[in-house]
Amino acid sequence: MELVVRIAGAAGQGVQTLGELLSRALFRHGLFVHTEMSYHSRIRGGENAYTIRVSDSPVLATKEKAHVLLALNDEMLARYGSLLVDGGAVICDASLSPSARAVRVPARELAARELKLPIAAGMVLLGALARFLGMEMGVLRDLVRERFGDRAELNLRALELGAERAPAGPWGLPRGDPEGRHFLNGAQGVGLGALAAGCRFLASYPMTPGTAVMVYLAAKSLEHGVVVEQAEDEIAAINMALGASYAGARAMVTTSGGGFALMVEGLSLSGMIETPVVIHIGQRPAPATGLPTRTAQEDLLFAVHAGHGEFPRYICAPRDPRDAFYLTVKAFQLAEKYQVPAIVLTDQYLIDSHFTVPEIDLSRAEVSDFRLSPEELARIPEYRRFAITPSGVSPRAIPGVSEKLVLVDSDEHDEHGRITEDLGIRGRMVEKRLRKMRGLEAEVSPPLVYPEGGLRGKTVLLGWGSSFGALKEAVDLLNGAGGDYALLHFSEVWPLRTAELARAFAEAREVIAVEGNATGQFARLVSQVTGLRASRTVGKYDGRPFTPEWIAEEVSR
Amino acid sequence: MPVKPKEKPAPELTPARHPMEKFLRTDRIPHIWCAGCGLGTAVSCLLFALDELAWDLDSVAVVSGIGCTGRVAGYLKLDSYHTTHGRAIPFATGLKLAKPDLKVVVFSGDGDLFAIGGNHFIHAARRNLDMTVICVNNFNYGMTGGQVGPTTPIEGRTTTTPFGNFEHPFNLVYLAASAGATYVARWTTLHARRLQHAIVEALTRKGFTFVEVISPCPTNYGRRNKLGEGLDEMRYYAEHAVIRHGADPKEAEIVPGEDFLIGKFVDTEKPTYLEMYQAKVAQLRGG
Ligand code: SF4
Repeated sequence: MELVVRIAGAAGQGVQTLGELLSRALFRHGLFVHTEMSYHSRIRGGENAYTIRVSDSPVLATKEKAHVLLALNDEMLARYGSLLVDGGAVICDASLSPSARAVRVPARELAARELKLPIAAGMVLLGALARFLGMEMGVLRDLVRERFGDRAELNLRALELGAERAPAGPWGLPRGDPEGRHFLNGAQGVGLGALAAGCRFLASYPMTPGTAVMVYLAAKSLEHGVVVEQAEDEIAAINMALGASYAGARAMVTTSGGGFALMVEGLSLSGMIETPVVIHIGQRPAPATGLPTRTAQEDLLFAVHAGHGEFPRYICAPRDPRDAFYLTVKAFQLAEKYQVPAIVLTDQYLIDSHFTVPEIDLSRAEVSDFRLSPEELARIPEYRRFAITPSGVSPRAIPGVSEKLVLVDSDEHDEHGRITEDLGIRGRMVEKRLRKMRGLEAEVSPPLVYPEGGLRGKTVLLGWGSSFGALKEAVDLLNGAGGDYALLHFSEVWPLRTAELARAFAEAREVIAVEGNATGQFARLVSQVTGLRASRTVGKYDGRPFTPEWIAEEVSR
Repeated sequence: MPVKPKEKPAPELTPARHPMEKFLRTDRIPHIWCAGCGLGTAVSCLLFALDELAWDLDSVAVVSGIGCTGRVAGYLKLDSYHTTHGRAIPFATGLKLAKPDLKVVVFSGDGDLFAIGGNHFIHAARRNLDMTVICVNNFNYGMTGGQVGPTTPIEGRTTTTPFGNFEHPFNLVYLAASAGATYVARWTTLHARRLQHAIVEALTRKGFTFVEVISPCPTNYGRRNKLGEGLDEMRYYAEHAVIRHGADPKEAEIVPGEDFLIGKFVDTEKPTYLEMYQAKVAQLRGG
């Protein structure tokens, strides 16, 4: 059983509210729900579409064609009416005249006349849609009550008015049990991960889509004791985070590519003063301001190479919101353990999309304290913040706990952290910092192979990050059509694990990179590190997320 | 102060046409702004001001940053540039220095000009660069969904200050005056004719001139702070905005629920960047 429902309207017509209500209600029905939000960079007008994919088995990607379209205006009817499957249906106001099969409800009139609240027209249509889908109205009503509190009555009336006027459609939605599952978006995944990792400080500057993590943590700041500071720009934000980190707090920043560009000076500083910081980058299409509310995987090589000078870093690119949780915890953990910057690379699609995922297992979220305790510090006769060690990791004390000084310097420095121009020390310090890379390399988990097993003779699709769900389904589609395909997918991209790549390239008939950019950035990274070259790159750079059908078509071209 | 009677007959108003349509890229209309937003009024005031000045439009360029206000440049039938976030002033600086005859107007929002672009603002004012900066201040970041900004009042609710803001906001009038602006005025979108007049003055003065436009953002700041619709905010301006020309900029703080000062605060003259530069060149050449 699979059903795709799309709600489309202008910004300001409540598309997001309706979409969130419906998708959460479907989740509570015990179904697997995946949402995708597509919107113009503006607060009013334009186009907003909320695509909800529902199934009785797990779904991890969005679809282009819908079975049912709730169109809030004429433009959206025209724009998305052509993206209905054969025999699809439209729910819309009685004043609209769609060519497809339609349930038309005088929603605007009812909202104005019966409810004296024109904006409630959307809620009337939602009631009609819910009835048409054969949903249990009780679940939706509960959600409306939770969301609107003392303003719920009018909205409940609106739902009822719509439901009364719609027939039950042909979809007998099965009921399941949502127990043991979460309904999360990427922003929540990253935010929850930060909280679980003991993040105590976030400084950031508004930039879509990274801001969603700041908004999430700001709302949780009191409850969890996190300082959330909106900086005057991203340069300030990352330096604030480094200050907090020097003081011992687990610190992060959240931004997008353009904001990260401003943080690059601070990234290099983090490398030099070996002070941990976690950087969340929600990618969006660029260069420059680009497409603020669309998605892309364009900043991988930028993240890998950003910063003047040479220093180690860790970069992960989660596959889904649950993965975002675990990898954000890991990013904090590795940043602290190796005293390096760690980057969590997501994108607008992952940040804004809700996924139905198995419950998060908190016991898998390892959080350990790598700082020197005051007692340990007391036992060290002569404390050297940048002591040269075999692993490259020096004991990290927190300033202000004893008479022993914690000195850091953005200039080259000696083991004590004192500025130096001794070129012998310089050489040893470079080597010490870079030695940490070896430890980091051993921390990175292997990529995922789908279907499990060997790759001999197969055409292997190579991907990374949030494209996972669509790629996995594309492999199923291609194999279902008689192909012999497999997926090799990375969610930790730096340091790059090479063993699995070497094997895949040796065994596969062909390796095709599939990425959300035009130049095959991951394929280029692989080739830079291993010398292995994908035979071609399938790139998507139109700002829209991957769909399984699109990948299958492009790959078999 | 009585409103000066207009010499020109009032332009004919029909819903389909903007009286200043000749300045607008009508193919880009409808604009993206919300109903009740003050941005339309602020832009119209600039256009009426340009009309009043009757300048050759090729001699005017508009630069804006990113945000709801940043979209202004895109609607004007003038040479215009939509920069990256915060960088309108440095771009305008390069433009002015490369083409000193051009009249350069920077039109942007409070977050763009005073958070990420704050450093550029104070340095352009210090240099007394010939340009007019119009800042639409709506107390938050509208475009990205209503975050706290450098002008958000204490206790202001935004998505990033869900429990109320506790940081001191800027008094932009005081900031501009102390950084060296030679003309500083503040009006609200209710005071459209006075605002137009202030823009005319700012455009015709030498040096770094600054006009702050207090403006409603009903969708984000207004809704979260229960300020009502755009019209309610206009009523608020009518009740609380006190015109006092020549007032001490220090006293121009804005505190919700209390009266606030509007009017012309600074109107002086000092050598501009270009004049200083030319004097230096002459001196070195022994002129
Ligand atoms: S969000 Fe605020 S500033 Fe932006 S267009 Fe709407 S009302 Fe105006």
